[in-house]
Amino acid sequence: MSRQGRLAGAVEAMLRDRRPRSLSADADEAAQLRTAALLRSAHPGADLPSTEFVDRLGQQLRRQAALDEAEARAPSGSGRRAFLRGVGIAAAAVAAGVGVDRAVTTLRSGPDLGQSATNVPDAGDWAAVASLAAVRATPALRFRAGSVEGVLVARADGGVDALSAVCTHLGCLLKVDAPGRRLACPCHAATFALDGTPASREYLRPLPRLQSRVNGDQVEVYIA
Amino acid sequence: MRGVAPHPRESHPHVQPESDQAPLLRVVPAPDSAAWEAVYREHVVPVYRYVFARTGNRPDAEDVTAQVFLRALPRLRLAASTGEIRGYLLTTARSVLAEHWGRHYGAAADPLDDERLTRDDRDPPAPEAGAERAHTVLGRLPERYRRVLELRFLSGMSLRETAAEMGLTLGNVKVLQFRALRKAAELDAAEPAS
Repeated sequence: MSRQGRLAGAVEAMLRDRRPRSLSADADEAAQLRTAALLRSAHPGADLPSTEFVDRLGQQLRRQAALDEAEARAPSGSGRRAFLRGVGIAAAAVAAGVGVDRAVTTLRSGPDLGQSATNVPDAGDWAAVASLAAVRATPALRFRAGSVEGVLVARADGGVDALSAVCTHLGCLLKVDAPGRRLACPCHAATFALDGTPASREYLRPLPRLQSRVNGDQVEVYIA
Repeated sequence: MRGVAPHPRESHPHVQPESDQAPLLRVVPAPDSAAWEAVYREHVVPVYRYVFARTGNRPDAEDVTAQVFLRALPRLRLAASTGEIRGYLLTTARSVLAEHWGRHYGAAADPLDDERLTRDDRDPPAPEAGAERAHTVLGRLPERYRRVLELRFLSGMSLRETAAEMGLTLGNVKVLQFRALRKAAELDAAEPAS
């Protein structure tokens, strides 16, 4: 499709109240998208939130506030500020014991929401977590190794990727949705593609990668 | 969905003491929840409208608004004036919008040019400012450009309905709309601070 066609498609999506497809806009095209959004907001009633959305977000905030409060009161908590930076990992670490925070250090990296990163642990061991055949037999395979919750995904080139299976929203453990070829969070319906990028709530941080390798017929993950 | 906070084990099944060493995470209702919920109710509509004028569609406006409040939540629970809270929410909204636009429309896509950003920081805009600005831009367009954008964006007519209304072919309307939007974007960018 031409550039002009992609831009027109994005504008038509706005007019139908749908999310436009991502595109790489130059400065002029971005200005036109900006103006299209502005004009759309002048459609009577278009820029008012639905009651359902307002209620749903209110409930989500209430749950988050309750978790904040719990951490602030926890006797051995790492302190309120640290908790607010890494609410998901704090909850997961409490659930799993120790070590999760070292295994997925990228979760703590604060407001940088746009990037994934490969975590490089400084001390630990390689642990065999699954056979290569088992990984290749399914779109994604969950594993638990010590305190690390992860998922293995066979790559097209024969290698294997390992990702954290802790949702970057509030730290729930992800489940494999094999027919959908994605990872789904049971808590708030967030989903992630098998490369770790958020698929349903795109403002979430991508799933951090874990170090992994194929050793003979076993897949090993580095456990800090 | 229920009107009360669910029991933590229902919404967060992982929060369970699986290890003897792990401290129990006690999830209790926030004592000041009534206060921040009132703040939320007061600001959610203006913030949504601000975000909608910079996203132009419901799914993106909902996602961005949710992210704004989740990030701002710790601050909502502190005592502050309505104006201070509004300013903080809009500052947060601008940063979430910048990330959103960068991710969806590429590096060149900044939802707020520098001039407007500076002005907003001094004096956060009222949510009505979006519609006002839209009408100002429309009012400066040549008649046919203004007409096609009004029919499509304000009246919500389809391409086909717009073609019938203006006595044009579908192809004519597409070309006219493209040129009109390009011109409107030029005027929007050039408009002096109001």
